[in-house]
Amino acid sequence: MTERRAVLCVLAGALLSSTAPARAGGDDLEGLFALFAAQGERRKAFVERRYSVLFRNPPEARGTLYFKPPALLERDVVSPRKEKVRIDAETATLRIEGDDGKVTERKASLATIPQLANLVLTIRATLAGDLATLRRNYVVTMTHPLPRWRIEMTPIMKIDEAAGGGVSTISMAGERAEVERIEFTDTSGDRTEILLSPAS
Amino acid sequence: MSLIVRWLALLVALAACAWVVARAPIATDIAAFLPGPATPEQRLLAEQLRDGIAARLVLIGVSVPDEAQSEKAARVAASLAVRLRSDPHFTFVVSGDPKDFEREQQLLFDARYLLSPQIEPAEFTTGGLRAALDRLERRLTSAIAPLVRPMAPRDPTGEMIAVVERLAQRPPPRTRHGVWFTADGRTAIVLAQTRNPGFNIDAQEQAQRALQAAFAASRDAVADAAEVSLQLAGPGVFAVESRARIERDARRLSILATILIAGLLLSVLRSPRFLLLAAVPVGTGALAGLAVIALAFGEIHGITLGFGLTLIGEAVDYAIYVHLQRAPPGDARGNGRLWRALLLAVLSSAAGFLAMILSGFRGLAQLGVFSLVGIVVSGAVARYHLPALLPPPRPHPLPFDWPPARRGIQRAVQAVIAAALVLAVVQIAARGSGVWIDSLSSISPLGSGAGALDARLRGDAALPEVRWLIALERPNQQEALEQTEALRPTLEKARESGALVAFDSPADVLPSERTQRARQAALPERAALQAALASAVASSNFAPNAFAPFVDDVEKARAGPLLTPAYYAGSGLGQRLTAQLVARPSGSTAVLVTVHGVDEEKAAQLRGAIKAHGATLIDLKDDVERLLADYRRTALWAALAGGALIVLLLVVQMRNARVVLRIGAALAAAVLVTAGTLVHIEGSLTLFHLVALLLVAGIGSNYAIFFCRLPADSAARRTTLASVALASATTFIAFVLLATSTTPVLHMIGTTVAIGTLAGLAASAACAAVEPPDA
Repeated sequence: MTERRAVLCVLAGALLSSTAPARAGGDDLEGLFALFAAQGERRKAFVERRYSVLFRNPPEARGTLYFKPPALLERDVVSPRKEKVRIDAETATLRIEGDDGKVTERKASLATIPQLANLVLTIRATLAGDLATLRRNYVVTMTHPLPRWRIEMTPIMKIDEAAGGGVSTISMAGERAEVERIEFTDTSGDRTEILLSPAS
Repeated sequence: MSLIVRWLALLVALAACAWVVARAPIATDIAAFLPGPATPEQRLLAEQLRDGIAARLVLIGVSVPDEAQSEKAARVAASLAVRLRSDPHFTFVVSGDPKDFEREQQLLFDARYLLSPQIEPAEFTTGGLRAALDRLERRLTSAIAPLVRPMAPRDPTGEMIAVVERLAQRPPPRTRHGVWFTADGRTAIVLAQTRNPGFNIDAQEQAQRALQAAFAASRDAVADAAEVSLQLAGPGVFAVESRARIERDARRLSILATILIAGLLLSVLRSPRFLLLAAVPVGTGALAGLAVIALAFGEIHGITLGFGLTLIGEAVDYAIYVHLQRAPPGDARGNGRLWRALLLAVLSSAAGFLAMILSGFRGLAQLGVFSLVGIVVSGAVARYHLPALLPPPRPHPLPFDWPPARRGIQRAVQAVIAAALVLAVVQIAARGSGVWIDSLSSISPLGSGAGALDARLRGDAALPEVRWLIALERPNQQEALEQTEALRPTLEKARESGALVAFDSPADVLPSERTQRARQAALPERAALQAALASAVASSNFAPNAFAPFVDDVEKARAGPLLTPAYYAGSGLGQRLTAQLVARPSGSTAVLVTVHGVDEEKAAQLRGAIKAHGATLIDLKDDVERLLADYRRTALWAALAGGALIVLLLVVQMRNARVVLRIGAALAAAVLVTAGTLVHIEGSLTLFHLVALLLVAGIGSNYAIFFCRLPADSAARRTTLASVALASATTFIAFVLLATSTTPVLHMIGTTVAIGTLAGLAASAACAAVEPPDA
């Protein structure tokens, strides 16, 4: 299923580039990623909503996202509950405040949590403007050109459904160098939407 | 006639010995050299060292010269792991790929309602489920959501997380490109468990050969990977390596020693016939010694074999004494004197070794039996077989006389020895108990380098250090598991207080039947669960049908079979259980909880806390060191007893207080000066130095026996002196060669005895005296 979609995307991409060279989708994509790469460290406020068959209403989380090239990513949630994830290169550190206010900290190697590693690598590569890395794992297409751009990514590899939690598509949208919206759709059909705005 | 019979008997005996020796297996495990275990814990420790599951572990390092090539190492390692998985020599292979643990995760997930510590009746009421759903919602909105989401419909109460949290107390190892890596990023790590126990060295060697072939094939399969190299560590690897090394050293050095000693004897005595004949007592002694231990112990230890060549140096002495000091035919009195001296020399050497046998330790006893038999047999063959065939004695006087005519010279030598003695005693006394080093690595046949590689790979693979174990033993498996469960809160408390970092309890994977039944009983019937869940979901943010598979899974667990070790067969968890639930020969079950990162300052407290649950903390490092220290202390007493025995022998044989006093003084000076010099050179002494000092005492007593009763006749005296000088030269050559060995044990013995030979000769010279003619 996913595989077929990937094939379709490749075909679509090939068709687009051959029939409409004037739109120069590839150059545009590279131009966009060059804009990402030109930015240094940045902090954004975010609102995350999770749409799932499990939930009646999508639960919401708020906080800030911090990125420092090339490999430091921090997700600092303030509501509904304090939680901080810091991913530096291959090490993930998770700090969660429990019901009793006690903070627990856990460290793990990213590679041991493939479900998480996938997302982290994608966000990190995007923010760093590393198109080459993304293209190793995804078919990246620009569905709307600059300045109010929109891109879509589909994994190249067949997703192991048994392992679960795999991403089936990622889409991003924004204006020039600013990423404003990221959306992951995973194989279970769940959709996670992250809206980014300048940090206050 | 009787001569022919005598030699025929010797040949038959030699052939029989050779047959026995050729069939004896050679052992190299250091555990055989440990003292007999005194306590049940020590017995368990010795068993674990010998054939515990840890003794089957092969740590495989796949290295590249620099970090930039790490991907190549990773690909070779991954390919190697795939190959080894289908190799019959290995039962279990992991390389850090998360896929390696899929099977384990599935097993734990399927058994979660029997394993999870949070299961109790209240959890499945409406209130309990409502609280669980709140927790689930929080998890699904947190960063761990990708992990939780796939399990959520089957496991809304988070039992799997509770199970895994208990098991994963330690941070996981570093991973790169999907395999485990060392911190420097240059070595990928694969762990393999051999099918055969670690002490089966032949099987270990085969497994390692298969491993090397698999590595070569994996390297060839990866492009441009010529620079990728293989390193192996682990108990089985060391056993194979040390056997090869001891055998290689023993062979090379004995050949070299034979050539050099033969060259020396030939150039001094100019008698090829003597040389051929001198080999007879040496060879017979060594072969007889080996044959007796092969019969008495069932195997020959590699260390004994190495020690065997030291006998060349001492046994050849007897042939030299017989050849040079023999009186002309008809001089029965002169020969009688020689035989008495020879008997005394043999007996005094043997006395030291008798003490080693009586020390009660298997390893030392083997060395003792070997040396005792070897020396007595060589002495006897030299006495009874050689004289008739030796070329007529030719005088080989020393170019100078001793004790010298000018008393001042001997006085000067005495002063030097006395000064050396004082220095040695000061040296030893200043170090106090620090003179001894009792670590296992100090006597390991491979030295500390091998241990360092093991520690590096082990640390980076985040394996338990195999230093700390908590052991308990009960009459059957169920009681042992129950006892382990009772111990858990204490261990948890110790973890919170920082007394330890993590522990792996087998009861976390295989709870006792009692606990499993209690958990089953806490699970509600289908209808009740459905009702409680419906009302809990109704007041939550979850969709009404979100958890249908959960109800099915609970029902299945409630009515399903209990877990047994067979449930985990063939998985990594199964391996762990086999290692941790040990069926003892007595029929009872021992539980070994591996403990990681014990705070040494809090160890005593931990020991006390777990004792209340009938468990013992075993510190493989300290306990082994304590064992070795005990061993060494006993060996020291044995050595002193040996010394006393030598003196007693002299008293009985000589009945001359002044001569005995002289010999005793020379002997004590030789041993002490040697020990002091060793402390100065090596820094500290091990068990093997101590054993070698016994040999020094034996050799020193021989020199002293001849030097303290020199013949009054000048020519005879100078011939005696020449024979002792020649004997000490051969001994010195043999042991100096041994000192060049890279095998620490052989090196230690070699250094000790080489120094001891010189010290013994000097001390004997200082005490030398001419026998009164009427004696």
